[in-house]
Amino acid sequence: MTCQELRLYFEDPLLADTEFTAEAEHLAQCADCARFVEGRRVLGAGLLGIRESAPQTPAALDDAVLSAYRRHIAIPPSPALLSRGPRRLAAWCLSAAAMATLVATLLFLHQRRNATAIVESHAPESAEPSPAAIASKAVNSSLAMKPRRSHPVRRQPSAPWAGTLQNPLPAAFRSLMYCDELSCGGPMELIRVQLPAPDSTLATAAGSGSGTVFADVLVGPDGIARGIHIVE
Amino acid sequence: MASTHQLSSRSDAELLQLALAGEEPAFLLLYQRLKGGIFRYGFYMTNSKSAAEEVTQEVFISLLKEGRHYRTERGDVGAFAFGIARNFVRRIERRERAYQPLPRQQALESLSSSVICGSEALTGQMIRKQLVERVQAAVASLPDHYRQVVVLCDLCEVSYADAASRLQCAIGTIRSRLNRAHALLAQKLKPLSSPQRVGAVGPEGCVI
Repeated sequence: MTCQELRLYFEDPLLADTEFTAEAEHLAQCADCARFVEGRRVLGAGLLGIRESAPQTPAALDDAVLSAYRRHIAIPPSPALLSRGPRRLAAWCLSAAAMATLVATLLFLHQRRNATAIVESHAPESAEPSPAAIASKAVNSSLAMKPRRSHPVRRQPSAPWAGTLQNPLPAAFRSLMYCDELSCGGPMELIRVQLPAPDSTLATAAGSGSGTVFADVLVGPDGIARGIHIVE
Repeated sequence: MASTHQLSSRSDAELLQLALAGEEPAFLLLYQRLKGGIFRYGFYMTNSKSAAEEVTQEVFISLLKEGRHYRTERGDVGAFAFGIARNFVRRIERRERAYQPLPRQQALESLSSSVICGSEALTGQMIRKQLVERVQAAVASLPDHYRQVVVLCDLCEVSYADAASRLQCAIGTIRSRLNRAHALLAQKLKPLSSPQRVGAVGPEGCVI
């Protein structure tokens, strides 16, 4: 028997008092193991003594616990406990209503924005833009020129554009990309923009002496600009 | 109302549900099943009978109050009650710490030397009593995670698997903690183990 085997054997101090014969030879030769086993014997004896010295549960404790149980059963649950369920349900309902209100508001705002865009697309081109509208559209213009994720646009029952089969854009618009019925089908938004940097050629074409140039841009449902018309 | 014979086949969880519903025999049976372990755990952890009674009573009152929150899938009722007991023991320890400090190493050494010096004059019963007191003091001086496993496995005779479930750790952790705790206890009790009892001891070092 090796030291390791012997220490595994006496790992549990409560078993250290058991009779052994094979280990005796090893213990006679190994002082470390002898001290280890002796220490475990003392510990085991002490632990057993603690076990045996544990008192029994007193009868007074049984009576106290039983009376506490009877008191607990006799007293009805407090209103706070009873109302915990309905209160939690009310909290859930309240938060669900708040969420529904928030979603409805967002949807309403989104639809209103789309409706405004459609109305603007049918507005007469000659209307003079207000400074605020120009400012907001100037911001939009930078987005309109980039490919972007388009918002769902209410589809019109009939094609609003009376263009040719080859080019559905209105005649006044200069095409910014190849357009036919397939690539340029569907409703388009009309956005009036103030060009960020006045171009001399555009300014000349628009006949504006002040250097500010406005343009109507047709934007498809995919967010890509289809055509442009310099406002005179 | 179910009879005691019918109730004896019920699980602890069922008994708890019945007790909460007002079945006193179910509560009594559950109390009989759990009280011994909880009382002994409280006693070994606090070394005080009155504290053990307080822990036991509080555990069952808490079971009545919080029993509705018990979930079977999170462990048996014994483990649930043990968790409550452990919290109460900690509360008592915090409360008593200011008044009753744990024995220090010097106190243990002086006690052990007195036992060795005066052992011849003492009867076996007194030696045994002193040994028990010393082991109790040594157990009390262990770090909490070692003390928990010694109390559960060595003193309350809880299996390793149950101890692992109650302390929410792996069985291997219980084994290693217990081994380390035994080594620490043996080290604390070293002056008690007299070399004369070993008999003929060979040369130092082991022949492996």
